[in-house]
Amino acid sequence: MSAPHPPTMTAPRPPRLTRPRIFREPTSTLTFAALIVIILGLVLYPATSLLIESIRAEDGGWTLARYQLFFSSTYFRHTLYNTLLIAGIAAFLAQILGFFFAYGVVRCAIPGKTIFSAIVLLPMLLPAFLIAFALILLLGRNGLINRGLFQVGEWLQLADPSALQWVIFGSHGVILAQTLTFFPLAFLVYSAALTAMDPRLEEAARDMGASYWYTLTRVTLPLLAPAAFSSTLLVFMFNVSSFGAPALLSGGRLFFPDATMLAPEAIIQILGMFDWGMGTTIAVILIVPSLLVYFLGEHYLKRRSYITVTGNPSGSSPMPVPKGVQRLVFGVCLAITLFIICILVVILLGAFTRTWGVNYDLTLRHFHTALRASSESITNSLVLAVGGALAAATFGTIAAYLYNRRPFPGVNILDFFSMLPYALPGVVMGLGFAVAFGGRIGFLVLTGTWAIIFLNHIIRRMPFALRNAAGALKQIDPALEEAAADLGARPAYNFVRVTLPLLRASFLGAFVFGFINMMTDITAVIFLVSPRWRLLSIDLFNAIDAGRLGVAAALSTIMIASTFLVLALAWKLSGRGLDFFKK
Amino acid sequence: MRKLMLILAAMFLLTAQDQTAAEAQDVIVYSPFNDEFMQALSRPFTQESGIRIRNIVISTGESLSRLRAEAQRPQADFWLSVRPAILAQAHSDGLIEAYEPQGSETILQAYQYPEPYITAVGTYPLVFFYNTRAVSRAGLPTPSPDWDDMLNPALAGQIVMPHPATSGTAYAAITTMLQRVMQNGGTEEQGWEFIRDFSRNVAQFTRSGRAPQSLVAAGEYPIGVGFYDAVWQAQQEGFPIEVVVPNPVFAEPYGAAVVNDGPNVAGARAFFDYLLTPQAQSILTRFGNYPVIAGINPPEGGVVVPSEQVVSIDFRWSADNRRRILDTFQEVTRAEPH
Repeated sequence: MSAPHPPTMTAPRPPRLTRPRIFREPTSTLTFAALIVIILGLVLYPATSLLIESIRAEDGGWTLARYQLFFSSTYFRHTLYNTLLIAGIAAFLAQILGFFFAYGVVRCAIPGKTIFSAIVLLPMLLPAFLIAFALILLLGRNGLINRGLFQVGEWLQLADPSALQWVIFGSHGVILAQTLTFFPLAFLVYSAALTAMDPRLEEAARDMGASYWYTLTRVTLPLLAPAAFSSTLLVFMFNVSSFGAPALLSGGRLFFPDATMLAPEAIIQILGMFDWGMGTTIAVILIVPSLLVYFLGEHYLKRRSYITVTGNPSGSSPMPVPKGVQRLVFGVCLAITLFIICILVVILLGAFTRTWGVNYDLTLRHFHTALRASSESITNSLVLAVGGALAAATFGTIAAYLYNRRPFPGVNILDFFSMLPYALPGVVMGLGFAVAFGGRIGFLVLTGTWAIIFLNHIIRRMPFALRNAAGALKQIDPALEEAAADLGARPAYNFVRVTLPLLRASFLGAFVFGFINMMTDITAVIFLVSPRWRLLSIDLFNAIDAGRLGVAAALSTIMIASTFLVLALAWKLSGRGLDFFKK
Repeated sequence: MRKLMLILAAMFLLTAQDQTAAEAQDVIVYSPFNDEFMQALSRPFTQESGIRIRNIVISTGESLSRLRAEAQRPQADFWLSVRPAILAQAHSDGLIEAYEPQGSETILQAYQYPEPYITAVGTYPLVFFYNTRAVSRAGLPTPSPDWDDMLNPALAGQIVMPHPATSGTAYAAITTMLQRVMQNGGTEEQGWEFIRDFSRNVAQFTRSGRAPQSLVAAGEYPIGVGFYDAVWQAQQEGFPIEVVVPNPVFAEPYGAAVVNDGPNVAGARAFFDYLLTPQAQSILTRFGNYPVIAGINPPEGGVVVPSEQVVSIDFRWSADNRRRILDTFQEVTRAEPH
């Protein structure tokens, strides 16, 4: 779950030196040094530890045996195929849904656009596994919908009344959950691209007599190709490393039924079988497709800026859409929106009813149980996510400012490594931390503390803040800062008093994105939680995993409610609240 | 900016202090028991001693992995609901203390162990259970006490049980299946053949030992294999779930242990002593556990386990062969825990 890439940075201006800047600007120098330490300690060190652990033999030497095992065993190969296949199909389906929604909201004159575009973003606020959980409540063997279908089957006096049921466990379930989780992302990309598209091109085609379909397939869709490409890659990258939905829904049959998917497999190897060598090996293998796809997307995004038509000339309006197409788009949007609402309602219902599937009396006891058992986890999650999101947004903004406004030689390398945690799967970052700070390698032991979770939160969500702020910085005229500098403001003062207030919106965006991801993440923190530092998302996942549906639904409700509360507060505060930067 | 930093710093200090304050008084427990159960069980203890029990719900196989991983820097103090075989293994790995709690002399003769590191705390049989509605809906035969009936091809894909690598429950089930064949004069090879056929009927091997009970209770699968306590709890909740005591039945008691060099050894020992008091033992029965000391009634309305039906398994055999049995299981079934 994430937002699309903000634009990439411009090349640094060559600094004109009189005296070395290291001495002229001690604050910048120190901050740079601090950033380098952070990147080395929290990105490179964990990643290297992971690699080392995977090739370290038990007798102390080095070995590639685990990689050989991985590629020689059909089980592991099938796990890899399952992962790539499911991630690919789900990424493709997310594009189709995302396009339908974007086309409906941007181009069609359909009712309820505001509601559609608000509801469609809701899945981004939920942990991916929560959607899988809701799907189980609806479409499990005993889910609401399937029970209804069974009754229909009985009523029709079918030989097998369960023939009508569509049970969610298996590849199709994982694909559905992943699609629902990530199509909002595709929606955002396509609606941005459709809004920015120059309507004159379509108009020209129509003027020359092209039909609606001809224009759509020969002009509109080709113009969307770059957006489609980068959005597909992005969603594929998230799908490849997903854990929650596969873990909950692969109980049925995947494409290769004797295997599972990579991220759950890594977690089973470590937490279930205690096999650190094999677990880290799988995590390292998981890095390859993620990074490959990330770099491909980055490369393409950079080139895209030359191809895409920009500017929004007035005077022309988008091509009119035939009534039939509008109806179809409206129908698809309505169906998906209703389904999303269904998901939320079913979770609420589950939280307030006594025993799902048996006794639908209203009760508050699941909340009692959930609060008694998890009140500390809730506090931990909120404190670490609010603090972590503030810190990630702060560090990201500072880094963006330094990289763009006060570049040192080699700043591009630093930028590259700062962005790396964005592309690395959660399992890799979490396991990397567990190896690096767990006393298995190195001396710094942070296992069992809040700090290991907190630092992981920050480093994983800093890249987004960095990109966000870098994009915003490009729209701020450096003349403002130069004026302040001419009046004698030192760089640090300049940053805090002049630039930062102008970056409020990007700071808020980074905070919100970071907060939501920190609240809902499980793949990284599953390796980092400890008896004293439990988190709400992990408690929730365990409750689902153990089949305690009522408690799980109550915990979900608490998670959704507290996330909304913090977001509402952040918005309220940001009107006036981020003014505290000035004082 | 400075204010922001101050707020952040203050927050860290507060949480860090909270952590050190918590460390002194808490006992961290690894157990597969759910939070509700553990809270009821520990409430009188906490009221008396002021020591809080923090329970981490985790399968036995997983907690053994965790204790090994944390051996250099133990995180937990107490380990609850562990089979003798796994206690023996953990003790030989140096993970647990050989602490004999007060009151261990009151334990019934049948549950006494000569090894000082094995003390029984409670027991419940390993049973077959089924969702009455789901079974009749799918037109399946109801399970019988005979293990061989579980091989009925009509049950293909209808049974759910835990995975032995992550769950002590499932390991107990697998060893029972092997011993049943071997004690009837068969070879271990024939035991594995039985397991291979059995696994053809298993739809899903769950990570958690108590997931099958919830899945069957909810009607996700018609038939399950697992420990009785969670079935009993599901019955109390009103789920349409029935129990069959198989023959032979695994009914070994579970024990507990104080983690070696845990953060709060004294607190963990006190909690161990408490678990053998009549008060704690009768709380256990409210959650479908059978007591190990005399004078406490079994769970109300609980199934009867005829003692002549109980399979005898040498836990040392079970412990010594664990690695090999798990590997063979993997080979034979090619199944992963989901």
